[in-house]
Amino acid sequence: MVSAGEIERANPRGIPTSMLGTCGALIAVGLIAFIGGLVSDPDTAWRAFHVNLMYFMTLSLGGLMLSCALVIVGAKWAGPVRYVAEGLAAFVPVAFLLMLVQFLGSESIHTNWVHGAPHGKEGWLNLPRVYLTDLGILGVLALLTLRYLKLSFRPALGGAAERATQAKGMFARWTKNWRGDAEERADSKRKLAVLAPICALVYVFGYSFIAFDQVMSLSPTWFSVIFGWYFLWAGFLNGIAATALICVLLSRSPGWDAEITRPRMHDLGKMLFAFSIFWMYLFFSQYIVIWYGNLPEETQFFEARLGSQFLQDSWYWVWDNLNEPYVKLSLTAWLGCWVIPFWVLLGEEPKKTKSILGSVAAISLLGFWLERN
Amino acid sequence: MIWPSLVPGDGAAWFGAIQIGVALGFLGLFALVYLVFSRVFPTLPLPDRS
Repeated sequence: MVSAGEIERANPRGIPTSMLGTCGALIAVGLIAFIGGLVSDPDTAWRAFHVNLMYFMTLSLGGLMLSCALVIVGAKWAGPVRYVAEGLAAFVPVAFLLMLVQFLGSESIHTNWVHGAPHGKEGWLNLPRVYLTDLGILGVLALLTLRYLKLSFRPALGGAAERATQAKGMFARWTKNWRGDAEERADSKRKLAVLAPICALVYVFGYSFIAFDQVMSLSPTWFSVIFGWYFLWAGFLNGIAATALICVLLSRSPGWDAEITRPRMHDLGKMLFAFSIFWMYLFFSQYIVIWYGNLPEETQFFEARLGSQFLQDSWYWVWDNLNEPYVKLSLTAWLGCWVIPFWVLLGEEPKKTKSILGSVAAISLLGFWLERN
Repeated sequence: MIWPSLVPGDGAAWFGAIQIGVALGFLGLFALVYLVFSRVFPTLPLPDRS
């Protein structure tokens, strides 16, 4: 744990060849699948691109939001855990570029309204409006992310330009006009306290638009005002799960073994536990209103995912209903998003146990990937 | 969340070689960006006890 007098220092180093090779192989598989898909089945290729862009973009913004939350509340328990979350946010500018690429596949993704939105929604659901709005919001979020990361990491970069083996120029630029460790830390803290709430507000309001445009409007006759919250809250929860998983993996590294302590694991576990309940609460808030109203234009969303059960006039369990389209996928996603995190992390000891917390975090991430599908 | 809106009748539309391949590609890219950021560029700071 960081004690008075200790200074957090960056320690630039190369990426191990095995990790680089694994990432390169995965990217190659993705490129082959995507390019092959564009030739054989472009609709499927673009839709898979869309699903994964939404998932990883929301996850990376979730990392940024976790860091913002820690800054806003002045959390002292987190220590270097905050930087782990901020690392996730490095993907946000990449997601902006991938969103530009996605525009090329808009005919395959926004099939249900691209050649004619439902009556009354023509002014909202058209490609120029959707992509100008969403790229604008994402561009602002990418710029805010870069500014936030630079402000957050600068105090740890004292002397990094001399120690680094790569990117010396970047470290020199980032540490220009260095004023000493104490002043840099105070300045960073002061500026982050202003920037973190701004990032959080842009995420909450701006990313709701992206959720409405890119996901909810895929069923253009269905609407839910809580959908934006529901979607972006999953991102925040994913950010916590990914941070917990990376912390568990890092805890074997020299230096990190002393930082990933049982109290810190306990805190991460509490967040994963509590916020998975809040995610379920948002789901239920959306569901119960639609269940009670029982209007076909509203129930269509749940019927397409949960099958013909769980509605007001069909609230009974029939095993055969599991064979209806997407029911097994939806119920499996539930297991990962809420059932397993809630029941496994209910006690104190599982939250503090690395293998259990790491496994639950990985299951939660997989559950949300299934849910995004 | 996405596939049921686009291919409502086919519960297996989300699963296939293209879909899994593209997902693995995104995972690789995300991991690479994280690694580059956390190890080469600003890097994850730790308390300096020296």
